[in-house]
Formats: sequence, C-alpha cells, structure tokens
Amino acid sequence: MTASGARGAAPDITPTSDVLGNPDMDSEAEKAISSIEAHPSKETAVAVLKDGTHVAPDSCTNDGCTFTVDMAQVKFVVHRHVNSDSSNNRLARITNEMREMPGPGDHLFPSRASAPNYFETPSGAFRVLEYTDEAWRVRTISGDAIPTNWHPRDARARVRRR
Amino acid sequence: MNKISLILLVTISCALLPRVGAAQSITCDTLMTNMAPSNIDYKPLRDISIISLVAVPDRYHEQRVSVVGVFELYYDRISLYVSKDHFNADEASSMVWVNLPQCIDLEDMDEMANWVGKFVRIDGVFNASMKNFAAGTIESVEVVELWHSER
Repeated sequence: MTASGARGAAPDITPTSDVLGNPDMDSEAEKAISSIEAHPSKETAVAVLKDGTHVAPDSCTNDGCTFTVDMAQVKFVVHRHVNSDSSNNRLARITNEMREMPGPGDHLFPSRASAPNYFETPSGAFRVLEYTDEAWRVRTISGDAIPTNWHPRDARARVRRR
Repeated sequence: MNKISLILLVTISCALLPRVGAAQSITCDTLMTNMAPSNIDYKPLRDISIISLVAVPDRYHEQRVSVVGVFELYYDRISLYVSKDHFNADEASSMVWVNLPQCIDLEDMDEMANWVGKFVRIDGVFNASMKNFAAGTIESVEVVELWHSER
C-alpha cells in the first residue's frame, strides 16, 4: 500500500482563499498542544477560537478526533498524531511513516473553517497544513524537514506496483 | 535439481507473482463475531441503508450494522459515500468513516485498493459520536466485501 497519485475522481474541496499560520499562531499552537497530556494510542487535540477560547474534542481515537464547534469562530486547530494501533507490523510501520504528514480529513478544517491545522507527528516534529497560491503546503515548524508539497489524495491508499 | 532447490524456486516464484483469483471479501473476527447470540451483550446484525445512517446517525449509535456505500481507501481508514456522485464530489458530510479491520495485512490493503470508487458492503458497529466531519464511524469491522454488482 502506498499513497501515490489520484485514481479516484474526487477533486477534494479547497479553501476559497489562502489559509496561513504566522509566527504568533505557531507559538500559540505549540503552547496549546504541549499543555495537553499525550495519550499513547489516541490522538489529542484542541480547537482554538478567535476569542482565545480552547475547545476540547468530543472524543478521539487512534486516527482522529471529533469536535462540536462553531466553524466560523475557529482560529486554528492543533492535534497530535500517534503511532498506529494496527496489529500488523508492516502496516503499522507504513502508517507511522504516513503520519509524519497530514492525514485523511486534515484538510477539512482549513477548507471549511479557513483555519490552519497544526499537528505533532509520531517522531515529535511540529508542522502545519496551510493553503496558499491554490495549493496545499506543509510547513515544518520544528523537527525533521520534509517536502512541503502535499495533496489530500496523498493520504489515499492505492495499488502498489508489483 | 534437488528437492530443497525446487522448494526454494517455487517459494520465490510465488512471492514474485501477483496473486491470482482476487479476493472479493475480507473478513475479520471481532468481539461480536465470537459472541454467542444468547449473550446479553450480543448485537444482531442489521441491514441499514447508508442514506438512513447519514440522515439519522444517532438512531444507529452502537448498533451492529451492515451498510453498502461507495468505497474510498486511506492508509489508516476507509470512507464510505452515499453515492458515486458524493464520492466524486468528496462530500464528507454525506459519508461515514470506517476503521480498518484489525486483522488485515498489506496484501489485503492492495486488494481493497482495487475497490476504490465501487460499491462495497461493510459490517461493523456504528459510533455516531465519532463524526470528524462525517456522520460517524463504523468500528469493530467484521466484513469488507465488494458488492456483487461490481464484481
């Protein structure tokens, strides 16, 4: 299983204008996620509203969190990717590697709330998913640098070349 | 050629060749499949339209459901859309997330990758509270099966 290229026809929704973090937001996001205790097998997250209020998720699993929040008031979200809970070692290893990048659905907060989506990876890197010049961009704030280009289809699994 | 060489050759050949006779169903044991129907915690499997699931997810919270929808595969989860139009539009509010079955391996992922954009049946326990922009999440997945009209 790899994530390469688009096979499905889904165009993926995009924001209507640029969605960008800034140095103040970066440090606010880093502070927000470090104030939440990490869970070994479940994501942790917080949505930060424009008035500074922090909204905790309703629940989280190994691959995501769900919020009840006024989308018009969200300034940014920040979440923590965790190691896969798959019992298959090869699948877990690939999943952990993929979780160094944004995951399935991580583009929805930027698209629907115009809110940058910050995330901490299993290796401890801190990155943000942004949208600028009609393209998605992953900016690394701390930790190992990775390619900045990303597209929601990169999270899809497609047939491996044999 | 001695016997050991022959076994080695056959093993290597099998590993290199694509699998013949593609599977159309992936099945995993779960707590529910191993439970006797007489058990007080047993949940009967109910055939539910994905349209109902998306429209009134709370009605099916924690129920064991069998649902047919259009399949998308990610490296760590599945999404199931109401229709091919919704799949093509990437319309998250008209879909449900589905956890990967716990017993699968990379070969199963390859098999399922052939089903993207097609109708698939999924059996599992629905969690209406785990929305993440969708109607909910099907957890404890027992069956992922290519729908008969897509074979």
